[in-house]
Formats: sequence, C-alpha cells, structure tokens
Amino acid sequence: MTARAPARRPRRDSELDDVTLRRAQAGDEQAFRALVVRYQRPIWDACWRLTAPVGLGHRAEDLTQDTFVRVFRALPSFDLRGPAKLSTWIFTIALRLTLNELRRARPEPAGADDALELIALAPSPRRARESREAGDRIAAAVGLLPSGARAVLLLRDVFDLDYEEIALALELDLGTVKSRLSRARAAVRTRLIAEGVVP
Amino acid sequence: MTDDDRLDLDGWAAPPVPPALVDRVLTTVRGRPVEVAPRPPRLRAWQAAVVGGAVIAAAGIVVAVWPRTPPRSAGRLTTTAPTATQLADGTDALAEAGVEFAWDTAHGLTRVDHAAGTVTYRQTGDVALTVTTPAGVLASDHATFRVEVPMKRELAIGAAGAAIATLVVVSVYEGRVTATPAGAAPQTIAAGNQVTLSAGDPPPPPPVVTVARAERNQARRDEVARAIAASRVRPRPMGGGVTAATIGGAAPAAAPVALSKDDIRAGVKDVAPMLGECFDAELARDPALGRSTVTVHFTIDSAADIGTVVTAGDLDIPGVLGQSADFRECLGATLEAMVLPPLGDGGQVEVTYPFVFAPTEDEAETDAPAAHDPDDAPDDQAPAAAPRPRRTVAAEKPRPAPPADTAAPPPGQTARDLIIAAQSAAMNSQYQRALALAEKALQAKPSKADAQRAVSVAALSACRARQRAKAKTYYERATVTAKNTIRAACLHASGFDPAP
Repeated sequence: MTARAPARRPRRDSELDDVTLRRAQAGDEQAFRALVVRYQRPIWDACWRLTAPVGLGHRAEDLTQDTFVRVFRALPSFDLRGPAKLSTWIFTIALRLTLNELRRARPEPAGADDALELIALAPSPRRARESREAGDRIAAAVGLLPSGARAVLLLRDVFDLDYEEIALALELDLGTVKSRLSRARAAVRTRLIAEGVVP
Repeated sequence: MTDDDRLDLDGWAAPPVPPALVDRVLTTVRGRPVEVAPRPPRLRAWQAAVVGGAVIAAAGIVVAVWPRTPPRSAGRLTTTAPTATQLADGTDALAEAGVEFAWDTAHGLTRVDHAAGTVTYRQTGDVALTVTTPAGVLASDHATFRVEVPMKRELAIGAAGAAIATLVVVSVYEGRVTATPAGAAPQTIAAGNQVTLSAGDPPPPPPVVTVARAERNQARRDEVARAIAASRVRPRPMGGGVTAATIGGAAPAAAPVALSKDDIRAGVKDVAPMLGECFDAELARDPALGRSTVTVHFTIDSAADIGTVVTAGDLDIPGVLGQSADFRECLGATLEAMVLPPLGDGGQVEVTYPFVFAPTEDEAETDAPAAHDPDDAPDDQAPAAAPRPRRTVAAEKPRPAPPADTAAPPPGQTARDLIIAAQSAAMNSQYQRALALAEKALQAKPSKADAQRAVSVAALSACRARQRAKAKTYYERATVTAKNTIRAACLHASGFDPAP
C-alpha cells in the first residue's frame, strides 16, 4: 500500500464496439447481454465502494441491477456522437442512483436470508484479519468522506475517469471536481498516515 | 494537482460480481417471471435481491412477475419479507418487510388501510383503489405507485415526543394518484413525481422538564465521558494489575494486557454519579421510593485495537423501580458509557454488580444521589447523605480471545441500528462483536422481523465464534428457513452441529 502513483492503474474496461451497441439500442437481447457483461464489473465495483463504507453494501447489488435496467430503457436515446462515452454514461446513471440512495436511505438491515448468506460466506476471522489489514483501513478512511467526495475520489483514483468525465457524470464544475478530489485525497491520506498504513 | 497525488486504493478490493447478475437484469428488463422454485438458501437470497432491486426501478414489471397470493375480497397482512398480494382483479400490492395493511374489496372499490411500511400498488383494472395512510387518503387512477409509511416503531417515537411528524412518501410511476392529506385540499400526483405528505397534527412536544433534564444529563454524560477517556490515556504499569484471568479465576491462554478488578471498579466509580442521576429522576417522579438493591449484569468485550465494549445485560430491579422503563434504559445506557482499558488481545468478562440505591437525607444539598466505591468507606458504614452503591464483583470466567475487531461502534441505540451494526460486524468476520451487538439488539425491543434477523445473526456469529452454547440457544430460536443456513454454515465453518 502506498499513497504514490502505482506503476499501473486499474483501467476501465474498453468500450463496447459500435456495432454491438447499435444492436443493443435496437433491442437485441444478445447485444444487451454483451453490454451488461462488459460493464457489470466496474458498475458493481462503484456501487459497492460507494455504499459499503457506510454500511449499505448489501444494497450494491440492487443498485447495479437497477442501473442496467435503466440503461436498457434509456439506451435508444444514447447518442454515440454525444459528449459522453458509453462507460461514462452508464457510470452517470449508476452514480446518480447510488448517491440518491445514500442521501435518501437510512441504513436498513439486510434481509434475513441475505445477511445469513453473507455471514456464512465471510472468511474465517484469521483470514479476514489478514486481508483487512490494509483494505479495511482504506475502506474506513474512504467511508469517512462525504458521499460526493467519495464518488469523485473513486472515479478518479479507482476508475480512472478524466476530470471532464467526472464533472459530466456528477454534474459538477471542473473546479469543484478538482477541489473535492484534492480534499478527499488529503483526508484519506492523512487518515492512512495516522494509522500507519502509509509511511 | 498531478497524478503523483493519486491514492492507491487497490488494497481495498470489492467482492466479486454477484453470480448471474446478467441473467437477472435480462429477466427483469424483459419482464419474464423470476425463478421462484425452491432452491438452496443462497439462491433464495439472490431472488430476494432481484425483486428488491427491481421494485425501485420497475415496480410495475416486478408486481407482474411476483408470485402472488390468490385474490381475496378482504384481508389483513403483516409482512416479515417481501410479499405480493392480489387485492382485486387488476390490483396488486407488493409489500416489503415490515408492512401492516388491511384491505377490503366490494362494489368495484378496493379500500386499503395502510398503517406502516412500504408498499407498491399497481392498479390496472376497473376496480377502483383508495389507500388510507396516516397522512391522508390516496386515490389511484390506473396508477402504479409506491407508498412509504414510517414503521410503527418510528411512529411510536414520534408520538413519544421526538418531534417527528408522520411523513408519508408517495412516488408515482404510472398513471395518476390523487392525494388528500388530512385537513388539506386534494392534489394530483402525476407519473414521475414524488410527494411527501405530512400528518395534520405533529406529535406534541415532550414535557419541558423532561427535555431539560435529558439535555442536561446528556451534556453531563458527554463531559464525563470525555473526562474519563482523557484520564484513561495514561501509561499502564508493566506487569501491574491483575490479569483478566484472575477475575474469573481461570487463566486464558494469552492475555498480554490485563483488565483488573481495579479497572472495573474505577470504571463503575466513574459512572456512579450518573447512575445516581437515574435514581434521582425516578425519585423526582415518585418521592415515596425507598431503598432498593439493583443487580446489574454486563459484559465487557474488548479488542486491543478498538478499546472496550460494555454491553448491559439483565437488570434485576425489584419493586416499583423495576417497572420503570426509563430507569432501566438509563441504567443500561450509563453502564455502556463506561470506559475501560482493553482486555488486551481480546476476551470477554461477564460481571454481576449489585448496587444499593436509597433516597438522600439531604437532597437539597446533593446534586444527585452519588455512588461510592466501597473501598472508600468501610462496608459496615451506613449509607450517608447520598445513596451508596455497595459494590461486589462476581465476575465470571473470561472467554478465549476473540478476533481483533475493527468495526466502528454502533451508530445508535435502536434495535435496528444495532442489527445493522451486528450484520456489518459479522460480514467482516468480527463474530464476537456481532454476537454482542445482536444480543443487545434483542434486548432493545426489536420488531418481530428485526428480532428474527438478530437471532439469526447471533446464532451464526456464535457458531463462527465457536461459542457452542450460545449457538445452540439462538439456533433454537431461529426460523425454520434460517436454521438450515445456520446449521450448514456451522458444520462447514466451525465443524459442529448446533441442532440438538
């Protein structure tokens, strides 16, 4: 774990090819399946990372699914020649849904079955202790950020979106994106340094 | 700002994408029925998630595919899980967990009395639909709409004077809904809009004296808690004190840092004045209260990296005093405000602690009944001007050290908050903490559904923490469905069978 730029950043999945996209827009189920397969990982990842640090991780799946349902409905109106890449457009839908959920939702317990399954699948305490040494501390530090700042930080430092794409997705001014990102990074870094995760 | 400023968050990995997410998305968008045939618990959980998510996005579609009960002319429903019900031909209701409603269909009209919880209604047929909520009446015009009514517990809080009005949120997906709030003009809610209705009369404010008292106490508690915390930040003498083992009489395998009797005594002494305030408040209500011996049980559960968690357990309070919910709550909250050193690398100590409360002889000069450590005064000394909790510690055996616990403290004291915290802790493999929180939730008067959740979490957490006795106890209290999962998980992860 380091606070400096790593040698290689995780990159967004490459964009869906135009032919498949047009077929999906025309209602082709196989093409839409390909779209979901292509983008489900980053969208799930974003929904989970935004919700889990504040105890709402059990909603990530619903939010991911909801995102693609909305994508399906709005896909015919997506303009291939518009300002947003398809990935940014889908991110926008996911982020708005998730941020709305975070604003609206009071934490609710997971359903009994969901909770039981998640607990049953949790790793052993020893393994969990080992794996959360860094991960949980990062999650805790990120979880302290306001949801808007958390979204900016994740979009930039995890999903590698450009500032312009982040501004578009979150409907923010470019300056706001940068200032939020700066503050978010400083806050997380300070916390991680204090905890000894970062030297 | 440059890329050199980037944070590397790779060490924080998201879990894998839930299995078959693509299939569920396609099933939903195509409006195909969701598979509901009996499956192992894992698949049932995913189905619940499928439908739960779809409600938010496409209520109409989901209502259409949900397995429905046959239409009935009238009925009453209290749900503990998402449930779809056909109220009349062309009228469906999808109720989430925690819903209470009743309906009656006659003469081309379905009347619903929606008392609590969240329900999505879909009315497509010719049978009219009206929904009466605590904040007004809703009339559907071939609409699909969602109605969110605060749970009964939240309503009760409001009624108790927490100044929370009963707010009903109506979201219309299709068609139109006419809302007539109590004492106000009707308003039409078109598709795509959301309106919040407020009950006409907000709950009465709490008595001024009570509020002032509560605020004063809270402020004082905060102040004392800070002072205690500050006083605890001091180097511990190497090798000093008595180990946790000596409290219970049986040495654990490893207890690198000790929690001594003196620590517990000091912690109790710190909160004793606040315990006295609890009694003082009761005395103000009933000046006839006499001397009373109260036996409290609390659990000290601790991990080196987070400090100590004190969980109040049973409170044996005799007589009139025992009938006061406020007194019980006050005692429990005060005990849980206690700040103690950690038990080192984990461990658990159960403490039984009798207190003697008695009215002061000279209340005018005493802010509140005070608590004294018996070491400060001989045991044979009669209670002086202030009531004197006579302390005896009967600590039971410490348990093996639990895993390190890094979960944040629970966000609140309600049963639901505690369950959320328990689930979160358990999902992060912090089973000792999860068990403690779930048990605490069960003591916080949870709803029936929440109690089932808490029992399930407690059973599975106890199992994975290898606390067999508790695992068996909570397993017995679990629902039949949950038992299957708990048993399988216990056998798989911990190697023992919680079933008798």
